[in-house]
Order: sequence, then C-alpha cells, then structure tokens
Amino acid sequence: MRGVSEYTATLIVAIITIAAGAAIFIYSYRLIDTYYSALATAAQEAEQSTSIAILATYINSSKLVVIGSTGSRPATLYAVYINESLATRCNVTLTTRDAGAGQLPQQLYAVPSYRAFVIVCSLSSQPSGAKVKLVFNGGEAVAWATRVR
Amino acid sequence: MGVRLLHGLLGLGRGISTVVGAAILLAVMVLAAAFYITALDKLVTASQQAMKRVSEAASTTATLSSVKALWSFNGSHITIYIENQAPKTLLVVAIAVVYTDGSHSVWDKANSTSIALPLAVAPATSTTITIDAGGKTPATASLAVEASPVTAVIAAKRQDQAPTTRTITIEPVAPGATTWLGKAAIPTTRSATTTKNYPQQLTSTLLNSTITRISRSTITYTDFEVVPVPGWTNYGGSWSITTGFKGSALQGTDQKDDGIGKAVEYYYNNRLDTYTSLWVSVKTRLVGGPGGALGKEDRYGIALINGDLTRLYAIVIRDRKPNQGQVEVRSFNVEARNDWSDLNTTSMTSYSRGSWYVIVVNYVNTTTAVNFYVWVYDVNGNQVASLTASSTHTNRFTPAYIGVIVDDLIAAFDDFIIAAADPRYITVSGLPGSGYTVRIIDDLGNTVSTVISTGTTATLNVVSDIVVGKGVDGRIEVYNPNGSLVAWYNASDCILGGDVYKLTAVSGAIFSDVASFLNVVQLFNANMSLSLTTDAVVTLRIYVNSTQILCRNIYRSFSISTAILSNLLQGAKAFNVTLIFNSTSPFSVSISWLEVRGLGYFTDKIIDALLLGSGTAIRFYNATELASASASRSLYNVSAYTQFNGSAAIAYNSSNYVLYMVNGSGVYSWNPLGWSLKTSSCRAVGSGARVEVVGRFVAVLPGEPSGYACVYDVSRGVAYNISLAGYRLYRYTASAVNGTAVVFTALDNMGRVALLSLDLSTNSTRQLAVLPMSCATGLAVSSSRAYIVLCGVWRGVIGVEGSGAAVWIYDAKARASGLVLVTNNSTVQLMGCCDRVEIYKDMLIAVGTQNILIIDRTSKLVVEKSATIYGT
Repeated sequence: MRGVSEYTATLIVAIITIAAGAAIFIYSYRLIDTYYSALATAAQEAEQSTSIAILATYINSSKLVVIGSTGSRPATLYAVYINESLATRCNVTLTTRDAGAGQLPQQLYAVPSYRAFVIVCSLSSQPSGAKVKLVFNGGEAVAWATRVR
Repeated sequence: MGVRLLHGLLGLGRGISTVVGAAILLAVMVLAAAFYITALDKLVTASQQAMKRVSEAASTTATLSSVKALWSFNGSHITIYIENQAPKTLLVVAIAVVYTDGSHSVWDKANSTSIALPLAVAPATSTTITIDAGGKTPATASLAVEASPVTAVIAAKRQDQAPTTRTITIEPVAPGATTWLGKAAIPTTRSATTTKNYPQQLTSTLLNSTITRISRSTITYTDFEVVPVPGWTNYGGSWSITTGFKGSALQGTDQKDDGIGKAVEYYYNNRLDTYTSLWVSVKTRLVGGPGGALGKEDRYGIALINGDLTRLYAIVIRDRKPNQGQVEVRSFNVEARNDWSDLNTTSMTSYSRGSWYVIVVNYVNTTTAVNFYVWVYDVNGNQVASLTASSTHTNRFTPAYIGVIVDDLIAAFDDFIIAAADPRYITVSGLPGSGYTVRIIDDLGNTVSTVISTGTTATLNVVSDIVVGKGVDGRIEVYNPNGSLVAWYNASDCILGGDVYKLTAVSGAIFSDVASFLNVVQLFNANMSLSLTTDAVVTLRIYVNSTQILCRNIYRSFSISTAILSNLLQGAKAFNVTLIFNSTSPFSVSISWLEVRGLGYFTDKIIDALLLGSGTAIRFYNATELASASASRSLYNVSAYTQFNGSAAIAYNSSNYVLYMVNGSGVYSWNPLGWSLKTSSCRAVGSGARVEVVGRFVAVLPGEPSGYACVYDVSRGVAYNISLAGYRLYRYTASAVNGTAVVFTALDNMGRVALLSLDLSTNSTRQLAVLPMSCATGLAVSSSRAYIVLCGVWRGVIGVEGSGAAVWIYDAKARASGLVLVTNNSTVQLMGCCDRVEIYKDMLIAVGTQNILIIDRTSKLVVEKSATIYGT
C-alpha cells in the first residue's frame, strides 16, 4: 500500500487549511467588529449625550441643597446619592414655577435646556460634609457638600 | 513506456500537488492580508474616534481653565467679573449664590430679568454681572458655563481686597472722649414761612367811636313844658301854658300893665349879675292882643332886669303899626327916668304876625356901656333882623334877672336859654376829617340840624331849635363819608345850643399773617420779630394764636423781638400772628418786617449723626459726610458741664431725640432747653463708664471697679442694678447696643478681657468670647458681628505680627473670631479709654486725637482670613 494519494492528501490538507483560516478570519473579524461597533456607538453617544453641572452643594441645618444646571440639551434627573446611599426624600424644583416640583427618586424629573434646578434632600443626620452624586440620563455628576450653618 | 508513463504520471501528480499547495498558501496569505487590512482599518477608525473625544475633552478643559471669574461684595451688591481667555465663545447658563445664612439665590434664563441668561462671552472679552444681595452676605458664587458640548461649573473666586482706610480731620479730641452714632436731631433755628410779603401798608379805619359832651355854656334853660316854671317868677301879668313850637310853651298876657315899665315880666328868679356878658335866646310869637291897659305898646320879647326890679332892658318885637315887625332894644328907667327909651331899633324882614321868631341877644357890660347884640331869626333859622345897641347912662346896670316880657298883648314863649356862650351853634369836634355828616335829632325824631364836616370840627346851627326838641333827650349822629353811621350820642338830659361835643374816634387796623414751620417735629422756643412805623400814636396789641403777648403804645419807628409763650409751642407748627392797632386819630402803618423764628427739631434735620463727647462739650457730626469728606466740622455743640475723662459717657434715644449723659452725679437728659437730672441712682463710679439706650431703658455701666450694670427705666422712672455675674468693668470697657442687649467688654475672674452680652429683656449676662487684648479704642456691633478696634499690643495671635490699628471681629453666627491688622497709619493716634468706635453703613469709624479713622468694612474685614483666636 502506498498510502493515500498525493492528490487526496493535498486536497485534504488544502481543505483543512482553508477551513481553519476562514474560521480564524471569521472569528477575528467578528471580534474586532464587535469592539469597533461598541467604540463607535460609545463615541456617538458621548457626543450626543446630555450634560449637567452642579453649581453648588451645601448642607444647611438638616437639609442638603444641590443646585445644578443643564446646558444646551435637556436632562432627566434620576436620583441623588449621598455618601453612596440613595437619598429617598429629595424635592427638585426649577427656578420658576413653570414646572411642578418633583420627588427623587420616586419620579423622573425632566429639566429643560439652560435651566437651573434646586434639589433639597432631607438628612437624617447632620454631617459636616457629604459626597453627593447626581444621576441623570447623561450619566452622573459628583460634588462635595459642606455645612453652611 | 509504462514506467515512463507511470513516472510521467507521478511527475504530473507532484506538479499538481505543488500547484495546489502553492494555491493554498496563496489563499492563506490573501486571507491573512485581508484580515490584517480590515483589522487595521477598524483600529485606525477607532483610534480616530478616541483621539477626537480626547481632543474635545482636552479642548473643553482648556477652555474652562481659560475662564477667569471673580466676585466681590460691597455690602449690598455682588459683582461677578467673567473674563473669557479661551478661543471659543462661552455661554453663562446659570448663576448660583449661597449666603452665609444658609439661603441661596439662583438665576437662569427663566428668572434672570436683569442678567439675561444665557449670557454669551466672546473670546478675549470680559463682562460684569451685578446682583443685589438682598441684605444678605454671600458665601460663594458659582457659574454654570457651557463650552459646547460640555457644561461645567466655574466657582468664582472672591476678589481679595486689602482693608482700606482713610482719615478725616476733625477738631482735636481730648483723651477720655466718647461717641455715639445714629439718628439724631440737630437743633436748628429757622424762620417760619409767612403767607405775606413785606413791607405791608395799613391804613386805619374808623372803629367804635364815642361822642361825649365836653362843655355846656348854658346857665339855665326851659322849654316851658311846665308852667309855672320851677325857679321862675312873674312880675305882673298872667302866665299860663300853651301849645309851643314843640311841645308846650309859656303864654303871657299883659292886661293890667302891672309889671315893670307898665309891662309884665316872667323871669328866672336867680341873680345873674355876676356875669358881665351873657347870651339869651327865646322863641316867641304873637298870640293875640292888644291886651294892655293902655293898649298901645304891643311888644314881646326878652327882659333883662336889674336886681332891684326897677329897671330893665327889653329886646322886643313890636306888633303895633306903623312899627309892626320892628325889633327894638329899649331901656326902662335907665336912659329915661321911670320911662322907656329906645336904644336902637330895626325892622324885621317879612314880619308875619303869629309866626315864631327866635330872638338872640348877647349883652356885654363894659366899663362904659352895656352893649347889646341882637339877632332875630324865623323858625327856619333864617336871620330876619339884627342890630346892636348900647346903654351908656349912668343908670345902666348888669342884668340880674332874665326872662320874658309882654307889653299890651298876648305872646307865647318857647326854647328859652341863658348861656355864657353863643347858643345858636352846637360844635362837634374830633371828627376823623372832612366828609363826615353830623346830624342833630330831637326827641321827637326830627332832624334839627345837619352839616357835612370840612375838617375835624363841625358847627351845627340850631338857632331854629336851641333847646332841642322838648328840652329832653335828643341824639347826635355821625356818618362817615360812605354814609355809615360811625358814632352817635344819646342825650341823657337834653341837647342845647352852645353845647360842645367831641367825637372820640377810635381808628383801628388789623393785620394777620400765618407763620408756618415746615417739617417741624418739636419747637423749644420761638421769637416773633416785628418792625414797623406809624404816623400817629397807636396802641399795638400782638396776638399769637389768639393769645395776647404784647400791648404797647407805639409811635413812629417800632421794633420788637418777643418770645412766644412756651405753652403755645406744644405741638405747634404754625402761628397766627395778629396785630391790632388802635388810635384816637387816623393813622397809617408800614410793617417792614414780621418774622417768627423757632429753635426746634425738624424732620429734615434728623440725620445720621456721630456724637462726640470731648472735653466738656458734645459735638454733633454729620455721619453721611464722613463717607466722603476729608475733613469735617461739627454741626452743633452742646455744653455738657462735665469733663469727658472716661468717667462720663453719652447715648442718644433716636425715638424721642433725647440725649443722655452719665457722670458721677447720675443720668442727665438734654434737649435744647437744657439738661435735667433723670436719676441719681445710676452713676459713674470710675473710668470706663458707659451708657446705652435700649428701648425704654438707659443702661449704665458704671466703670472701674464696678461689677454691675445700673438700669434706669425711663417710662417708670425707676432704677435698679443687675449683677454681672463675676465680671468686672474696667477702664477700657467698651459697649454697644445689639437689639435688646448691651454688648460690652469686661474682665473675667482670670483677668482676661471678655466680650459679654447683657440682655435687658431677661437681665441675663452671657459671655460671647474672650478677647486677645487688654486695650480697646471701642466696640461696635452690626448684625451678628462685633468689631473691636484695638489700641495696643494684643496677645495670643497666631500668624499676625506687627503693631498698629487692628480690628478684632467676633461673628456670633459663625461663633468664630479673627484679628485683622488694619493699618499702621502714623497719622492716626488711637487712644485707649474710651468707647469711640461706631459703625455706619460700610464704615467702621474710630475717633483718634486729630482724626476719624474710617475702615471699609466691605473690604478685607468681611472675610476672616487671619488666625482664629480664643473663639468660644
């Protein structure tokens, strides 16, 4: 027996090689494309996302006051975290009464563009300072609040 | 061949395998290249996206870092300065200010009426935003700025200003001086506004005039209303009453010639021969006749008889023709012994038998003769005859009895009068001038005589009715040129010819003006000044608000300045000045000046004042002026009669404008009327004495070495002491009022200087802080802050070195204190004792020996950046 024909062997090797290369190509391409697509989407979202600025945060007696403002895009406020704990008793208002007051986090609160808002959260304790994180549809904004009175 | 063919086939197979292998290798290489190219493309694209994001983030960060924002506060407004140094435009979206009281203000496009947000700030430009702080003190200011696509916050940095000071030159201040600052009334003397301009001219008008009889020449008179006439007697004939000219008359009948000279006489039976000259008048008329025994004489008239009733003179009218209507002056038993003799005769004009005629005779007995002057009038007063005669015979006589005579007929007699002066006229003097109508009216209402004056005296002819009316009553009336009755005289007895009357004309003028004070709060004294001239002696009465303040006779130039009674000043804002002029003669007045000046408090003179007690005086400075002036002079000075040496202090009650002073004798109050002792229960006992007004209380800190406060309740008039709980007042005690409390410095039991608060509503004392010094120029309180200007070396200060003026600030809200070195200004020599620091708006005012040091509170003093010391 002189073994498998050279043609057959060559053909088999060629088929196996091509199949393996194609599989590797397809797998690698999909992997790269997945990461690329995610990066592109993230970049596009970043470019089109909303932005909120916190003007002031301070503690007055037993209340935490957060004053913020939107930019050219409206934003939706989700919640306030005080020292990484969800604040459950927060009222949010605009500078004028053209929109009603809202309660975070029970309600989502929409802030129009170029508008300042004031969030007042009740504190169970009276800390001298607190880390404040404001979560909104464009991400989160963090500030440090100190006691005024 | 087969082998060859086989070998050939084998060779062909190797070649095919080689080709296939090569193709496979080529395919693999192509796949690898395609993968590489694709992966590289994706990588490049992703890298570009990432670089773009990173670049944008870096650009935004660079932009935001290129924005400079500063804010400052001047005590009332916040000024935010924004400068864009980036190459792209910024958009200020919102502004937030947090105040020290915990409140905040936010401005965005919805409530930015004055700011106009969003506000674009172009590259390389700056803008300033000013915001009213609403009386609050800002702590932070931040801005939301959009530098597309990012919105970020810029926390504005406070502009750090150095404390600014300046000095104001004032009059020298003596050691021991003390101050007070607040609303105070400056005593001001000002003139009231009059409603009239001066000079003013007045002319008198005739007021209530009176007429009095000043003389009567009548010796006797009768209207023969009663017969026989009392005091009369007859010599022969029959005499009865009949109808007269007015009322009744005497009727005499000669039937027997049984009187003197074969006539009959009826005469006044009182001897009048003491008079060498008299006037006699009678109204007579023929009634009938002849009636005499001889029946040929027919005469009637006046008889002038001697004392022996043997001789007489007769002034008669003869009724017998051809001498009818002849007036005769005859004598009996004078020129001819026991017979008649005519002395002179004349004829009457248009004699009418039975008509009334008035015979008026005036005899004058001289040394050589008895002269007779005779006039005869009809009843209308028209003279119908006159003649003169003389009796020069040695038998002539001075008539002793005077009466009437009837010879051989019946005659009636009325209006008989014997007078020492001409009875034909009545004189009225004292008239204001010409044009006045004088009228004599008898008791029957008939006008007897009327005349219009041509001067001040009017002469009325009453010859037609010399014994006016029926010899009773009668009336004289005077009318002014306008026809108004201005004076009258009602005779209580009668009006007779020869009477002289005088009109006492009360001429008067009234002038009124209202002098009003504008903005008056209270007057303490007032003077009325008046200057005028008159052309006659007049009586001037001055009334102010219906109260007479002066009554004086004046003439020509007259000036006066007289005080208005104090009881008229209470609550008075206007004075009604009335001048009443009266005179017995017409006059004119020229009022050249009338003024009311008053010393008092006026609303426009209630100012923010700095009161400085120095030496023995209290000076009032205009606090507003201190804001800008480089020098100031006091507006008003009050003599305190005490030495401000640290043991005396002043305070002021701005609600009722009363100045208080405490010294070693007690608490005194002052207004422009002077000082008065309110209580001697609260006294200064030594240096460092202070006094403050807190509502109705006057709080006295007696000074070294006391340990109590003495409070005088003004409304109740009582004084009481409050213990300071172990604290001791000392020579540098300074004080100020904060609400219902007195904030002051005192020594604690460790000898440290403590800042204390004594609340007069609770009478409780509490310590606020311990001070890092021993000597203070003074203390002032504003809102929650106490400012103490130090005058010497301080202690316990960390991080502050040097000497000179410094301000220690205590913030009650922050419960913190700080020390700010203000100046080392050698021109300011701050003194130790006593309390000479005040706050006015943004100024901290400290009084030195030559200057007032003004420290700007809006500068660094607002921020306590110095070391915290001894805060409690």
